[in-house]
Amino acid sequence: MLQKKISLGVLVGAFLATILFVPVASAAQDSSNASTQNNATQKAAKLAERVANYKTKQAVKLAAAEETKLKGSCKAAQAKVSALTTKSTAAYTARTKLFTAITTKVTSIKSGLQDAEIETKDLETAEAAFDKAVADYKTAYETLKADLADTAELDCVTDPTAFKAALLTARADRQAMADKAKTVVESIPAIRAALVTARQELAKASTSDTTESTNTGAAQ
Amino acid sequence: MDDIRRPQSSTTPRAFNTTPVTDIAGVTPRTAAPTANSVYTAAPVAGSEPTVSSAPLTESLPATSNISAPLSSAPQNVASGGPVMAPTQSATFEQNPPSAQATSGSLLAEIEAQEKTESESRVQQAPTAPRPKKHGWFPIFMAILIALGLLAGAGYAYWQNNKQTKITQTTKTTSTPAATKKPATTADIDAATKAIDASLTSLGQATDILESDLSDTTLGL
Repeated sequence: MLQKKISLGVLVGAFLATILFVPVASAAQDSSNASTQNNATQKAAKLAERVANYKTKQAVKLAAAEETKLKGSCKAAQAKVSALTTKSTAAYTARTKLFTAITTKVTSIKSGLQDAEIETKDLETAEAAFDKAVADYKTAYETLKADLADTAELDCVTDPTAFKAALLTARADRQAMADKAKTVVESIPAIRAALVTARQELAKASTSDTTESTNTGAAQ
Repeated sequence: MDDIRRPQSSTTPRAFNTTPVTDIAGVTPRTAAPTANSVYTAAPVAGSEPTVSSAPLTESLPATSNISAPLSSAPQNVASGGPVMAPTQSATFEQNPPSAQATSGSLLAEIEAQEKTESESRVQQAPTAPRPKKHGWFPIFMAILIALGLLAGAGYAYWQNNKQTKITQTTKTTSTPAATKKPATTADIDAATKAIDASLTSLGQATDILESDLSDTTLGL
């Protein structure tokens, strides 16, 4: 009898839980759908905002013939731009890996020099410049990445002017990114020079230590 | 239940002494409480059946309750110092009266039937144990729900506690760094310089997108 009651209670509990869960799940599903729709709307709004920004930056004014030509060829161009995005990302990943390796090495050497009581001020300055150049390069890459994505994504047939403006912006930002990458590379010799100086200091310090110990031994 | 029952047909109803009471000693037995086995058979009154009370069947009941008033009044008179009254005809008991003997069997049967009926009625009327109140499934369900909630709460608390302990242990482990100094050597610096040179070479070989990649000609515009 008790078992019957318990099983009945469990069944009713499961039933009630299901009944209660249905609106929750439904609400969650609705919320998810609404969230997806909201995200899509937000994405479209942001793209429109960036496209407006490209137009403002570049002030493109296409002739009717040029517009017609663009409408016919922009789709193929967009596919090529997409491929360029992949290429740019691969280069960025390789560069970032090298930059990280350099940073790790410099940090390790700096710590060792400090333990050996060698002045590391020059090395720290060079390291700070390098870090800033790397950060600027990363920002430039993110900007170019967004430009290339927008150029490949926007509706170039409907709005060829926007496509042209986005492409021109991508070209400018590609140059900016290349300049930043160059700045990073250019900051590395300063690190190298600081390391050379530190090595000389370290060698001098070890020589003086040896001389002192030799003199002390001779005196004794 | 433990009523002491009188012997059945084998017992001859005992009768009171029929001798007229003349002194106190003679009165006393009449008023004394009868024994458990005694049965008082009323003297048959002319034109009426002898009546037998069922009260003497139980030991607890006083014997006087079955004795007619004139009998019981005698000791009172004696106690109060008054004259002892002679027993009336109704108060006398004849020893084994033939009519009473003849009817004793049927009377006994009647008494037994009455007893049976009474005992049955007693059994029926006996207070029964209160039946357990019927509860629905709701309290059981609620109890299960509360139990599950408590279990879940306990589990969660245990999990949280475990998690916190683990974090504390990890923090304790990581918060004891080796404070040993590792001074750099010239060899270390040489190695670092070489690594940086190699990186520079690699950076020069990195194939990033070129200006020409985004030209109108390349894109076919």
